[in-house]
Amino acid sequence: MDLERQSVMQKSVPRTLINLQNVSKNFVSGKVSYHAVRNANLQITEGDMASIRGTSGSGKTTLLCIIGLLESLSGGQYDLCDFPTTQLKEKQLSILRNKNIGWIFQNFNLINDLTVAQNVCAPLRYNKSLSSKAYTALVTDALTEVGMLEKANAFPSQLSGGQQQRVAIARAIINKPDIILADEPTGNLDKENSAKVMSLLQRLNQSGATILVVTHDLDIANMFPIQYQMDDGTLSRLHV
Amino acid sequence: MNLTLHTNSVHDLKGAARRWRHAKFQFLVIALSVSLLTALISVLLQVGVVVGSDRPDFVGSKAKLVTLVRTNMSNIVKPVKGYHAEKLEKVEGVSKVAKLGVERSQIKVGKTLSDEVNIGFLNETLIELLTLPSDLKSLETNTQSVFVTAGFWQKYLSDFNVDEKPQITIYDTKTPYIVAGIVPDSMSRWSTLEIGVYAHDSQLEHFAPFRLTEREKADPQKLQNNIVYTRNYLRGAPQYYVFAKIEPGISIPDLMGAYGLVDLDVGNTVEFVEEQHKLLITEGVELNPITKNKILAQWQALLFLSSILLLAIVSSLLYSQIGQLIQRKKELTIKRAIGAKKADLFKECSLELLPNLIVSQVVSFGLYSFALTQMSNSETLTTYFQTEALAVDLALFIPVSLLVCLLLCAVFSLPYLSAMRRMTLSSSKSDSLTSSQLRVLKYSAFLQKVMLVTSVFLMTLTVHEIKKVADANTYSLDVIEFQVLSENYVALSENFKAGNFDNRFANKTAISFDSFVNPVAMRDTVSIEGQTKNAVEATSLHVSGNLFALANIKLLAGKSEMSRDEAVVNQHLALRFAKQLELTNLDDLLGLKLVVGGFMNTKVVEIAGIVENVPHYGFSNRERPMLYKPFSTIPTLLERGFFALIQQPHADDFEQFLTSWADENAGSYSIERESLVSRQLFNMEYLENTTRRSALLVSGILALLLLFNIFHISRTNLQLEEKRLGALLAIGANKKALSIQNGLAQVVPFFVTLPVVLLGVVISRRFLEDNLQVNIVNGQHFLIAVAVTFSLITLINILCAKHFLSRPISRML
Repeated sequence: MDLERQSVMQKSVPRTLINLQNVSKNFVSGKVSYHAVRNANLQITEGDMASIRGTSGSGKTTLLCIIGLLESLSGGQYDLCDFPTTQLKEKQLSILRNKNIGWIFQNFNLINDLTVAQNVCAPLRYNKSLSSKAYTALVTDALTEVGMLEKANAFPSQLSGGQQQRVAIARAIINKPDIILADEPTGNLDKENSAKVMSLLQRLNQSGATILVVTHDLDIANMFPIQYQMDDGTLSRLHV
Repeated sequence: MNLTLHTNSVHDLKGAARRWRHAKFQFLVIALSVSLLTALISVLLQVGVVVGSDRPDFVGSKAKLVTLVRTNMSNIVKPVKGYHAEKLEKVEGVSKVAKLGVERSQIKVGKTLSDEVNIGFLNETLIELLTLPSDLKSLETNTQSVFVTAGFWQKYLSDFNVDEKPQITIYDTKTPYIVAGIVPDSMSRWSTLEIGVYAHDSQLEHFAPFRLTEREKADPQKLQNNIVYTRNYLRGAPQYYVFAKIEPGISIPDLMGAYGLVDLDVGNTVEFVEEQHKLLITEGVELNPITKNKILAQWQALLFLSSILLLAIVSSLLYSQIGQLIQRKKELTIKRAIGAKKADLFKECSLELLPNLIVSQVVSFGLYSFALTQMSNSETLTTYFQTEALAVDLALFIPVSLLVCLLLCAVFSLPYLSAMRRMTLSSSKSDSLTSSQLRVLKYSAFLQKVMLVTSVFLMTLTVHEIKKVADANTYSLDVIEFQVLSENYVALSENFKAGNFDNRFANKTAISFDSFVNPVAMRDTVSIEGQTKNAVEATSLHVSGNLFALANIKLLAGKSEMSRDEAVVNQHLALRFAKQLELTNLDDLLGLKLVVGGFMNTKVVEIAGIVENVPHYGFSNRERPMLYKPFSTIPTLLERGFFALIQQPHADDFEQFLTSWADENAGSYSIERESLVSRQLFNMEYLENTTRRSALLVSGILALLLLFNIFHISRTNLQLEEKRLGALLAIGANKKALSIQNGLAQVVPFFVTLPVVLLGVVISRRFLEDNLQVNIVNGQHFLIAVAVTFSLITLINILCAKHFLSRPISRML
């Protein structure tokens, strides 16, 4: 399967990006089995901006990890950009993670011994279709987009939480992915910075990016036109 | 804003440099481990290839033996300074002296090799006597030329192509000599000459001419030319060698009886006398199976030690990597989330290792060369291997080096790659390890503790035990040797047999027909009764039983006192018989009946005792089968005198007593007092110079490496426990108490390792004990090793915890 060509071609046609059907995830610890996700069904189409809310331990992060191809399924079917992920090999999953998904984490997850620019550039280094000559221009664009260009040569430890999250967003968008997944993106930020991040995400959505956010914060969740609720591993759509 | 983003490879390399800058300790450990590993595998392969070869001629595997020599040869060995030929030439009735003898001399070949070797000397008379090509006679006139044996050629000069007749210069105490030709090794062994007549006497008048054959009677002048005397000075004990050609069919006992010869040895046909005056190429010599077994055993010991090292290195690397995993887990997970493939990570890891690999391979080449130099210089190994076979071999080293580099990249990347499967970016779980990783950590730590105890144990053994054994076996005997010769030797020896001296100097004297150091011995053919086909040629000495105690020759089994129908054999001879009978215990050989056949008679004796191998011959380090017969059984015909050993400080008393006793009983006599007898066991020298140093080096490096790792283990454990420790401190726990608790926490796991160590020691016994000649299962050293290791581990754990807990508590939570 030529994932690279197919993923580029499909960008021009509106389509369902995420299609979960009866997806479940069990964790086994010794003799005890724990159902983190139970028969979840979810469809996200291109240009959507959706949130999944839920209390701690409800399974929302696990679900996001499944969607982001960081966890495998215990049951069900998951198609990402029309690719049946359960049938893909690890190498193909890596390509999907690199080109089709952009991740934003609650604790930013920047690599501390790399500069801001190097952190943002990291996904490009795993994108074999790009020449290293293009790195500088792409990184400059991404950092400009999030307003962090002046901090390009700083290290993460020299930045505030809000700045770090903006760098993380720049990293998430650098490869122009089909979908941006955000796990509690404002969880470690104050109100002012939370607002900035949310504003940035909304701007990205307006420019065509598909965004799925997991949060326990109702105020944040309510900002999204499409909302899901996660309770004890069960996913349900809220009609707002 | 100036933004510079490097290409992927440059980025990875810069990342590697940055990482090692912050982990210098780990860099050193990995570089050292890998260099050791490469050097070890290279040496093992190199030695293993030679030892494992089934070629019977591997001693000469790379250069075929050259028996004799060149057409139009212009030079042959000439005696060099220090040889005592002039004394012999003064002897009345001998017009020519063949200077075939042996001297020990320091020889230098080229710039680097130097060794003590035996130099043989030939002259015109001997050339004629041995029917060597007559054109060799002119060689005597050239004093700057030498002949070397084939063994010497193989050992030092095999780089030269003999067909090209190269001009080679060797140096004997700075005097240059041109190598004129090659003689076979048999030239330096008297027994292979056509006939050798031996006497132990320093007075030449004891030799009578041989009985003439009818043809020789008709030409007395020719007889004179055919008799050759040589003299060999060894530690002041003079010997004369007479070589003569006799016709077939002459009765040896008659010959000896008629001319009062004390010993006579008939050798084989001179194998190197060839009619062809050209280069002859023959097959290499067959390696003695005992020798081969010995080398194999040494190689096995090396292999065993190396496997311990290998295990330690691998476990150390694994542990180190899992430790790293804890620190880099977040980074790896992020990379995974942004789309890194396994191949990408493998490439990054390999590039990260590049500085390590470069440093380690340079060091490993140095170690490899050093090890080979050491092995090449060890006497034992060069006896069996050619120097050439142990030279640096790039065709072997480079593939090994590449293989180790690849292996290292795999070992380095595997924990990361496998860990990628179960990584989560949730902040609460990102610091935890999976149960399988924890298991690897636990087993690796366990293994390293076992290794550490074992290596410290080996070190204590090496330092103390081998030194002790070596010291005990390398000493100057506190005895003085007297040589008593008399016309009235029958009465003399009867008097000795009666034990007159023993009564007066009880347990302080020993008598021997032959000198302890430099005997002129007889050769006997010895076989197990009923198995005469498997006869062994052994050197016989007539000795009193207390010789062994006095000369510190260790009794391995049985007793040293012999009745007339008993004999004592040395270990070498005993092992030959044990092999024939498929026995494993030397004690089982006691009472075994042997048929001893000399040229005088055949007799059946029982083995009364077995003693250790002792080099009776001054310059020969080779073990040889020895048969010690009771002094009382010396055939009267052969008795012309004896040697007596007396312990210091009784020597003066003994000499006085001996003189007065000889005045009464001996008629005309001579007594010579020899200097102190020095005994240096070859094996112990080897042990001292090679095994001990190597073992010390290997175990030292191993222990150092493992100590570093124990430090690493301790630090990793603390990192794993960081939150728990932080919580304990937050609720009021004492830092000092926690440090000590951390130090003592490994008491139980440590003692759990001991049975495993013991098991390893028992297994190692099989491989090491015979080779290192030490008692591996030594309780005292084992306890020392346990105590030292335990103290070190505890100390490291306490210090590590103390340092770790010195940080602010808030950073641990």
